Amino acid sequence: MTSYGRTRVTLHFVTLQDQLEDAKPTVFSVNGRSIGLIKSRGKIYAVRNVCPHKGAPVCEGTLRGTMLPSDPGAFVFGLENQILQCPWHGWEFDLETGSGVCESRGHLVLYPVVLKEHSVYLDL
Amino acid sequence: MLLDKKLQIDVDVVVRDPISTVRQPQQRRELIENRVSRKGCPDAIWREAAERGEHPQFRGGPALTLATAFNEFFLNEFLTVDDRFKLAMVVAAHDPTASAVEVRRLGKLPGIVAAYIPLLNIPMGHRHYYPIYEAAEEIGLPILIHPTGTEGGFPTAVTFAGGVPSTYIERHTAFPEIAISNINSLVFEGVFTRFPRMKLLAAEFGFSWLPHFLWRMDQNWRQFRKEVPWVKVPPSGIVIDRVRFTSQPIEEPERPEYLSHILEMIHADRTLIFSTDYPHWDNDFPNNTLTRLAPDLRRRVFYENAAELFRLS
Repeated sequence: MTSYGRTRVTLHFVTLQDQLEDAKPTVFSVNGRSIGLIKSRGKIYAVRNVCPHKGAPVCEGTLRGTMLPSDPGAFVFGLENQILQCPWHGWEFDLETGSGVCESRGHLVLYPVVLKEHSVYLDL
Repeated sequence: MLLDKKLQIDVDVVVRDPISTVRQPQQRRELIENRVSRKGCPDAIWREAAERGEHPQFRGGPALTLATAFNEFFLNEFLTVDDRFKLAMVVAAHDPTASAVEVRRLGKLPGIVAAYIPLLNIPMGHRHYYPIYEAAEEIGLPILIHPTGTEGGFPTAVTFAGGVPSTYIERHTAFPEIAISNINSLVFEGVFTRFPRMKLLAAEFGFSWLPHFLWRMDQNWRQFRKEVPWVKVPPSGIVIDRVRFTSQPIEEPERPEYLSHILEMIHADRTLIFSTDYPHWDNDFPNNTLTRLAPDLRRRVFYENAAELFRLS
C-alpha cells in the first residue's frame, strides 16, 4: 500500500505486468475484494469480480468480441477482446465503459489501474 | 379481376367515388337489394370463378380466388352499405406476390383498414410473407392475424405445439401459442426493422400471457443478442410499439384485481383494443366488459387505440 500527498490515493500492489496473459482475465484478492485484471488491446483493466445481474464471478468469464448492431440478416463482428462475457447467463459488458452491451441494467465496477515500474497497482 | 358483372359494376363504383356513393341513400338501397337478390356467399362466388377458369387469379390457385371473392363480397355487401363498416381485407398467404397485388388493388379503398393474413405453417418472420408486408406498409395498412379454424388441420396449416388437440376446449385454450410463435418470429427476424412502419394486430389470441412473453424475450435478448444483432432495443419495447391485441375473449382471473395488474404490465393504454367477436357465441359486450377501467384507460382501450391503428380519424 502506498499513499501520496494531500489527495488521498491508496495504491495496492497486485502483480507484475508480465504475469498477466493477453485477453485472459486473472482474479486477485485485493484488500479483501475479488478483482479481475484483464490485459487487452495494450491496456490493463481492473474489474470487480461480481456480475451486476446475479452476482456471478464475472471475471471467470471469457474476453471476446461480439456482433455489432446491424441490419437484419447481416452479421458484423467487432470489439474483439473488449467484451467480457459473464460465465453464468452470458451477459456481455464493454470493458471500456463497464456498460452492458444490451440496455443498461447494471454496470461492471471498474477500478483505476496504475502502472509503475513493471507493476500493476489498483487505486481503491 | 372481378368475378361477375354485378360485382364488377359495384366495385368500380366504389373505386371511382366511394364516399359520395356510399352515403347516398338511394345507392345504399340498391346495394342492399343487390345483396338480397344475389344471396351470394363466398363459396358460391368461388365455385363460379373456378368453373369459368378464365379468372386471371384463378391460375394462381383457389386461395387467391377465394380471397378476392371474400374481399369483393364484403366490399359490396357491407362497406358500400354503411361507412361504419370497416374491412380487414384478406390475402392468400399461399402466393404472397399475387397477394401484394391484391393489397395494392384494394387496400386504398375507404373502409379497408387492415390486411388479414390467414397464416400458413411458416412463421411470420420468414421472408415468404415480405411482399405482403411491403405492400401493406406502402398502403399504410396494419397486418391482422386471427385464428382461422384450420390450425393443426392439414399439412400446410399452422401447427399447435405438441401436436393436434383432441377437442375444441384444447384447441381454444391453445390459441395463444400461435400468436406467441409468430410475434416471436417477427421480432427476432427483424421484420419490424425491415418494415419500420409495419404494425400487427393479433386478434382473439388473448393477452394475459403477454407479461411472461415480454419478460422472457428481454431476458433471452440479454443472453443471446449476438444471434440477432439487428434487434437493437429490448424486444418488449418493439412489441409494445408495434403489436396490438384484442380483448375478447376477456380473461377472467381468480380475483378481478389481477386483471388490472396485467393491464398495467402490458401497457394496455397502448396495446389493447376492445373487441366483441359478435355474433359469435362467446362474445363480450361493452357494457359488461372491462368495467373497472379508469376513464382515461377506458377511452384508450375502447376507442383511441383502434382509431390510431386503423387511422379512423
